Amino acid sequence: MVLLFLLFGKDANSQPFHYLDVGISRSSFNQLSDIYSNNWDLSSVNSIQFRTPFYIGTAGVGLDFFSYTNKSDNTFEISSLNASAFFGLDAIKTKNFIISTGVLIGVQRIEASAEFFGENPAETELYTALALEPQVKLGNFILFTEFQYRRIFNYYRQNLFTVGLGLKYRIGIGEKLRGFID
Amino acid sequence: MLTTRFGYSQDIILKPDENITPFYTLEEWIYSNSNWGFDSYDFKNIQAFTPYFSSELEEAPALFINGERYLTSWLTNGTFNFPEISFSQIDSIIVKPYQKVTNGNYTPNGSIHIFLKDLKNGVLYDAIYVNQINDPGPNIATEYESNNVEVLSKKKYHVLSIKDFLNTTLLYNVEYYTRTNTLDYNRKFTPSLFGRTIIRLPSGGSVLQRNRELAFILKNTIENSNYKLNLTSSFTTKSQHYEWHPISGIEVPASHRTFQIASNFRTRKDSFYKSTQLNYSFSDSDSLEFADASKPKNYVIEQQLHHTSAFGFDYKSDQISIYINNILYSWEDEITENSNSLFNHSLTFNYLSEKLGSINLFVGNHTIGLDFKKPLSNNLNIDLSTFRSNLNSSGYNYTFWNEGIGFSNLDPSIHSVTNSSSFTNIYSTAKLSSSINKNNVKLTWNVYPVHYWNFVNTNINYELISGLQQLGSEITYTDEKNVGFIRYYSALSMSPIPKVNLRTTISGRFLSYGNNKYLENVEGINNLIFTQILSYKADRNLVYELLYKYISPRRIHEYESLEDISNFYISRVRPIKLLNASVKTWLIDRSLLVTLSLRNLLNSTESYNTNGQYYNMSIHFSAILHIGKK
Repeated sequence: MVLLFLLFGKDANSQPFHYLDVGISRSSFNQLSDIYSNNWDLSSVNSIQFRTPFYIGTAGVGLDFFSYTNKSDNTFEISSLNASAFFGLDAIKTKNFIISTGVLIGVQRIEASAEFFGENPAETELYTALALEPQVKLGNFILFTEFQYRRIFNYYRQNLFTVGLGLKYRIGIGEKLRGFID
Repeated sequence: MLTTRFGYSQDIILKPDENITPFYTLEEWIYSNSNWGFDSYDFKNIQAFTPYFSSELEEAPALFINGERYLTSWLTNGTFNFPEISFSQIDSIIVKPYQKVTNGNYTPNGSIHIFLKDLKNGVLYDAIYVNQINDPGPNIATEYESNNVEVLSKKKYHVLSIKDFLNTTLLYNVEYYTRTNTLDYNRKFTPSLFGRTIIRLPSGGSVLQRNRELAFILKNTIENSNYKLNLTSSFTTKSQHYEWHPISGIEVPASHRTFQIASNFRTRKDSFYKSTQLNYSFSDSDSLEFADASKPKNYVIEQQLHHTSAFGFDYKSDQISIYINNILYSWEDEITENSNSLFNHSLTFNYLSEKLGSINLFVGNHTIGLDFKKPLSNNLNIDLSTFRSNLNSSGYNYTFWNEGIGFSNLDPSIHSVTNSSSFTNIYSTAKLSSSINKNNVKLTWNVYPVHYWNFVNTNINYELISGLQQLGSEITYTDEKNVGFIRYYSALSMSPIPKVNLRTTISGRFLSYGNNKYLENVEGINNLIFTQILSYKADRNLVYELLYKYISPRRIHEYESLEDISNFYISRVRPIKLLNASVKTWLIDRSLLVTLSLRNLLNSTESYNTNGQYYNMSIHFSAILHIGKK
């Protein structure tokens, strides 16, 4: 990661936090691990993300929600909440078109009915993802598509591929507020 | 200052603000950054392998907080009461691995000096969360079910600082530390070998294995132009704690409380009398086993009272200091009805001279010795010491094991202690060290031979007793003559391109000599530790860091006779290859510090004792909020 940032050192930002992109998106999953796809269907993912120019590239946080629908009565329905941090760089950048790449590091929290998990109804697990986001800028709005390869580090690794579409709104951050954040 | 020249050139200075790679506990952080190996089976009970390896090992380094002694020992465990302090509460730590006499105390394993941050008037809040991979996830009720892996660590630290009222600093820290009792070698290979204790409730249910700790530390200072008085009070409870007891061959769950008060009075007058320090500590421990509620397994009380007074004067350009030190140490076991006390006293004479160097003469009823330091040239120093130390008079493990203190489950038919030792270590050390600082490149190295004229050797042999959870143990104490080793340490720090810093540290042993009994114990210590840190400071407020650490394998001969029963080399602790990546950023005018790290990216098995847990990749998240004047 350090080397990556050294290579992309040119992406160093002289004005961190000078705007905030708030986005929502909806994606659908493609399950790459049979162990999980045999037992569950995954709902589509609803996400909210916050991104801002960082000292290098872009940084942000995000939350997404989806559920595991059981295919048989042997398993249970599970809801999932995912919180992540994002570190990205713009690979291609023109006035209205940007392709950004990045990594996400996060934690998945799953929860099922109480009797299923006994005393601990919730479980958390680390996940990482590689993301590619082509974006079109239309004034303060940004239309984006999102491709993610996600790996959840359960004992049997769970690999997922997502494709989604979303919309971001850019909010300028004034000098005063930026001074507060920085 | 004369002391700067003789004292600090070889000290290891640790700055939590400059180091971001994740650690489970403060102790681990200090030992890892000093490039010491250690023995641990859950990161909570840690036994450091300090550069001076001896049977005094369990005495551990002496700890000082803001210059005041903090008592960390409990019976045979030298670091049991290591304070629960967060990195965020610490400004710096100075580790003096070779200093045999510290402020009038005999410190064979060196000393650790913690300096807390001066927060002015303010509040600091720090939360840490660690989660390890390999949970079953959704598979918990399918044919792919695997063992559950609990959240590894949750900690919350608080500091309240009121400078205007008695210069008050209050630390209130809570640790909620899980032991993943499913993830040990033991369960993976041989389910019956080591007795992991599950606390059974009278109702038949069990209690989840978690080390829980709550700590308060209150510091006050009263001063005027004539004197300065520092007061430190601390109270720690470990409501659940699990500790492996070498003699009883089993892990014992217990609750533990410690209350400690320290006062340090220093005069500001230019007089012969300089200062007086008093420490009092009261600890007790009770069993958590409910199996037979009518008969408690143990209840032990320990009390310690330490006194040190310092005197000194200048003679021409030289400094002469004298320390008087007294230690009263007592314990009481209500189950075995054994109680005992020790009283030790010593006198230290310190002479600091530009021409001759530094001389420490230590004379006590338990220890007598001489330490001499001198610069040979601008960059080269020599440090010679010779000590004779009686282990039994300072509360050695033999004392407790022989009396069965705290081990009411000892059965003479399966546990034995035999002794043909004088319990006297006689040793000489000669450290040659150098520190060169040029053009942003800093190189520090030392070579440290230790020769024992007499060495108190402890050999433990375990055997499996069928039908019993605990192992049988056979402990033998012997005297070994003319044994020793040579240790080396080297650290290189440089900045090849702006904003990038590289730090390389390597330490290990050249040579060890002596008979087999001694060498078996030396093999229990990692021979080589290599650490490489690459950090990139992208901005004043943003740092990335990569750490790679290699720790060579070690051999625990105590487990050798269990090897036939186990399905793996239980006496061999595998090498550790650790790769960590971290990022930290300050926000809101450096009031909020957020750190995100991945530990063990290679996901190679990380374990420090085959009788213990092993660790896989984990995510560490911490947020530190500081409100107040900076």
